[in-house]
Amino acid sequence: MSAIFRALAPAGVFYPVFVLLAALALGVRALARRRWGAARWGAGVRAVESFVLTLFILTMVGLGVLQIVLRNFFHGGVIWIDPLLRQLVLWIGFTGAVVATGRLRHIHMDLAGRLLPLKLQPLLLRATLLAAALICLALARAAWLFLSEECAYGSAGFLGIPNWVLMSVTFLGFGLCAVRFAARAGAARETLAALLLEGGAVEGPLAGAGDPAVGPAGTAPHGAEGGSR
Amino acid sequence: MSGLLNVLALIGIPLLTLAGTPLFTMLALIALVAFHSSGVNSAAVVIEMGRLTSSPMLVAIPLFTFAGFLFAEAGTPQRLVRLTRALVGWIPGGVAVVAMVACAVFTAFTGASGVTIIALGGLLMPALLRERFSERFSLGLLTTGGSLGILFPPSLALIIYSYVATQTAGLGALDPRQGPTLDRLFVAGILPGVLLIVLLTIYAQYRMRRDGAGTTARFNARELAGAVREARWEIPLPFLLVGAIYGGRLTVTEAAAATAFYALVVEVFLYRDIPLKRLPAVASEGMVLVGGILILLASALGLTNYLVDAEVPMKALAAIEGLITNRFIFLFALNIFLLIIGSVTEVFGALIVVLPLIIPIAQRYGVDLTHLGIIFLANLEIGFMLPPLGLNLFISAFRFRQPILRVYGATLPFLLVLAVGLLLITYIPALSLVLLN
Repeated sequence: MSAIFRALAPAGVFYPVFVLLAALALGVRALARRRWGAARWGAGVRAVESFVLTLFILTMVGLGVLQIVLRNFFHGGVIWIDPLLRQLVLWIGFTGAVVATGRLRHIHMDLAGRLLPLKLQPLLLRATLLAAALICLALARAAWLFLSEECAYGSAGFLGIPNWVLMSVTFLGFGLCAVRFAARAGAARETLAALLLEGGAVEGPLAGAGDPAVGPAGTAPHGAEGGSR
Repeated sequence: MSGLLNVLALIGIPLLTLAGTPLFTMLALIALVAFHSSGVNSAAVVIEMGRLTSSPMLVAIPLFTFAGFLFAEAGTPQRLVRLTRALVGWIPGGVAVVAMVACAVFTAFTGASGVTIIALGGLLMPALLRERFSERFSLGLLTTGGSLGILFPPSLALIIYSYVATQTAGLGALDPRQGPTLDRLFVAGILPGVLLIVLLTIYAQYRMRRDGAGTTARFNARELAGAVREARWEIPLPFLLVGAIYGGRLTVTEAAAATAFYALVVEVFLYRDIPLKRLPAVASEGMVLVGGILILLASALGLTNYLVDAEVPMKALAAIEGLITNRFIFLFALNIFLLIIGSVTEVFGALIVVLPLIIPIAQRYGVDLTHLGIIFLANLEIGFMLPPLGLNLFISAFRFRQPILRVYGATLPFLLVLAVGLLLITYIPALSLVLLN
């Protein structure tokens, strides 16, 4: 594994590798959408995302409780639990960020959402998504440079795992964010509008002042699916 | 070439930010441009991001958020409202207090106040109307009530403030017994938070007389016993938490793990409010919020070293020193600034982006950093409901299906009351610090 990455790692290889991986991801997506339809593919992706995030958080809960029990009742914890928990923060953060990208739920200044009518929002959104995609591409490249240096000269982290393996989530995360931002920038208008509504967009005061019924019934604003029933 | 790049960045970044480009990409872009123009390899940005793994405090963020989303999804809101109603609902105007306390507890656990309006609004609105409070009053109360609680432990905003503040101020430079550590902030927020609730309660009493509202409920020991029995698994949690942290048995991080575990067992296996099948959906919803926060934090870390090296805070300080001559003017300017920031960004975004710039300036004016945290959060939470753009106004308009202008009007008196509280919190540091000494 290490040998493969070391062979690939030189900085100049970044773009070919990235293009290859992105093409692969988008190709699989296109094929799957043709075979099963966009709705089922979307549901499948969501299920996988949710499963991975749940696995991470349950692992964190389990390890955290285990450490408490060991420390308080057996007078001594396991030495690798704490660094592993801190490492999981990085992994859950980047995974969550990739999912937030797909669901358009990143923290942003939401002036457009509150000032512009819903109809105009997708246009502006596409521009910002494209910008975000390019920046994530630059970040993925930065992560690649970092990983290749780590791989060549870097040290091992806890349990002797090489540091570049522990940090590889930075490259994977930014790479996937770049691909997903780009995909969303080119998504159908209806898809964007639906995601905006799910994420909490409501008609701005200029558009919705006279209309009490903002937003279709049954959609919860601002990431509140977990809160409303 | 690099001059052109800087000019482009100088114009482009504010425009993109205002247009709604994710904040983390904006911070990252600044970092990339800055490192590029000083000739440093962009890998340095990622090295700094790796510092996300260096703090045990950050482990608490996903754990507390997970617990919060479990509570929000389960029947906890209903049980909480029933319990507080049985306790204080028989006092005239008590149902307004019920609403505020329930909202505060809830926001403390779920972090995002928008979730509170959604989760509790449908329960509390009919309860307020039944006691003959006017619709306008009830709307205002529930809109503002959503953000009370950001000052109470284990609020996510307090954790993030503590992390960013200690990172910025330099860990070595602060005496842990004086600095903005998490266990100190958890205590510091209590009195200011209670003050805001008390002020709103006084206002509610006044309005109750005017609206002719009162109470239809009587104190009912059997109802109280029933409510206690129903919430028997959840009532012990706050006491266990406080006892464990301040009794010194658990660190805050361990307490977060214990809370998450407790919430999981209670809501999924004892109450069975959340079927196992739903668990991934609930957990991932929380982790999306966590991902958004952590990636923003990572990008900010990529930038802080550059800001310090380029002495940006020092330059900002030099620029304002002529205008702002003493601490009072500084605090007042800070109030205005944060209210505006709070009304256009989420609290987490504001904390992570703005705080590193403010901390050195605040230190220069001799503001206690623990007190500063409470000022920061109180301002931001009130900014949430500041017309015309405060986020809570829009969530409330959406939730209660009211025109936004009506929400503005209903919220205004509450904002005035809270403004009084804000001034007290800002200019009387003792409110935040007295419990610490």
